[in-house]
Amino acid sequence: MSEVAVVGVGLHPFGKFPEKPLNEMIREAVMMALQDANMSWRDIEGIAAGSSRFSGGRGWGLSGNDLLTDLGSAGVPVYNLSAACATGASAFNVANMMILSGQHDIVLAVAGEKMPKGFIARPPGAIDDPREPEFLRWVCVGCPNTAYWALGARRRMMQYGTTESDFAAVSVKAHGIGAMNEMARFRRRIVKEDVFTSPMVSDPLRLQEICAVSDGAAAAVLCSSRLAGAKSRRPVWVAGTSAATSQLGDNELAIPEISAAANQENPEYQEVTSRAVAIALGRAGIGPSEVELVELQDNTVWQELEFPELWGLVEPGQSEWMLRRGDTSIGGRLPINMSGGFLSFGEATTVMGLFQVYELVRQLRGESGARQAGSPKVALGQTRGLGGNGAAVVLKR
Amino acid sequence: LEEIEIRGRAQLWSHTTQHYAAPAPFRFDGPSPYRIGVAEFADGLKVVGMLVGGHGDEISIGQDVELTATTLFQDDEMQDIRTWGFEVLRTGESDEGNVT
Repeated sequence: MSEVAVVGVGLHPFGKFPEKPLNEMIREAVMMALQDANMSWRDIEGIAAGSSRFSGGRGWGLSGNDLLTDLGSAGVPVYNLSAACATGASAFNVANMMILSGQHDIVLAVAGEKMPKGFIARPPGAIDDPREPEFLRWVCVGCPNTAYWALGARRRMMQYGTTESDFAAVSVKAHGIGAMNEMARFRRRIVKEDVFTSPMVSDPLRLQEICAVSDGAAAAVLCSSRLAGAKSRRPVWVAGTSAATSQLGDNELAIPEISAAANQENPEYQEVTSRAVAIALGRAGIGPSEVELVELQDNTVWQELEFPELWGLVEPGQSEWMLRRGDTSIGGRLPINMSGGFLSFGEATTVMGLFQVYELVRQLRGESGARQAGSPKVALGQTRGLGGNGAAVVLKR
Repeated sequence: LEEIEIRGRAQLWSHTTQHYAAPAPFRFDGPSPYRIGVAEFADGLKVVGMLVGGHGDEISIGQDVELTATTLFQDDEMQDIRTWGFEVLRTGESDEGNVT
């Protein structure tokens, strides 16, 4: 029996909202989550907030405090958290622990972000230190994030014979689903030709195979089992959460590193997303084969093929075949990114873990309409962020 | 942590061609698009760097590369600002099937 339930979720539609302040977007997501939970702002006993990385709220990264100022300072504890693109999941993880500790019964996890235009660049004010990987990769190699993913994609083509058509098919699938999601930013169905005619960015990855950056916000209300039964008609249980980081000896080429260790003791590919997923599944007491629904971080089409294999959900080299058979689509045996994924939403970096929770909770309740992926009981969300941050969330009904 | 020296030949672990230049502070007066590769050395260490040579030719994973220095740009005093890179060697023998 899990001890924490998600009793309410909220999401601000994704897009570019230059005229709308971030606090308004966050407030709307929070009010939606409270309404969904049939609760009021005064019920919230604590807040785990993702610190906005790019828009900054009032400038100090105190996103949870900004929310309190906005909705009514309630004297409750606030934890402002930063884990780059794993921030939303980190907030969810901390909210879960705040309840598991026995200190609180009802906790809000929340994050909002407004992204600058274009590809993510080296942060202003970074130090020009040749020992810093961020300096080395930008100044000495000219290696943006998309190049790292392209290196993985090119390697996969060699290992498994993945074709450009396979990669394009992931984008076509994502946009087909995103077209049915009123919260998504990109809602136009596309065909492979649209992918092939989009500009090449980092060969073999084209513009239509790489997620954009978006503005968005998301919130979830977590509740102890003690109260969840009385408060909620349809709780979704937190089966396991995790936060993990890279480990010395990992042989992954992790952004922003410009080298990766040899790992002769264990030649298997070792990296943080597998670690985070394994820990969360372990805490849930659930095996990889029991996962019925996945939301994963498709910064590019490559991740959707690569990641499920790294985690043991799919046999190595089988992702393309499963995609072609429709196994990872609506009605398939392992639906992946039924939201439309980052490819349809764009990435609002610090929000994404909670964006996934929103989608997975709605799916587990059977509320996803045309995008409903059967009646899953166990769902997995995964994000990873700069600095070696990894996070995973396992939910069940 | 210990310092280790990398030198000599390695095998190309993967590569990409970057079609838009990375934003400032990156400055590169060489050809666009430019290539980035990962060289895997004999002890398994992987290092990212710009690829030099082999332009116009197909390059493939497993091909031999050699550590070299290459020019990013000339500064105001006409000094070459250099970085490390990997020269793609024409061995004629490497092919993707040989990679382990």
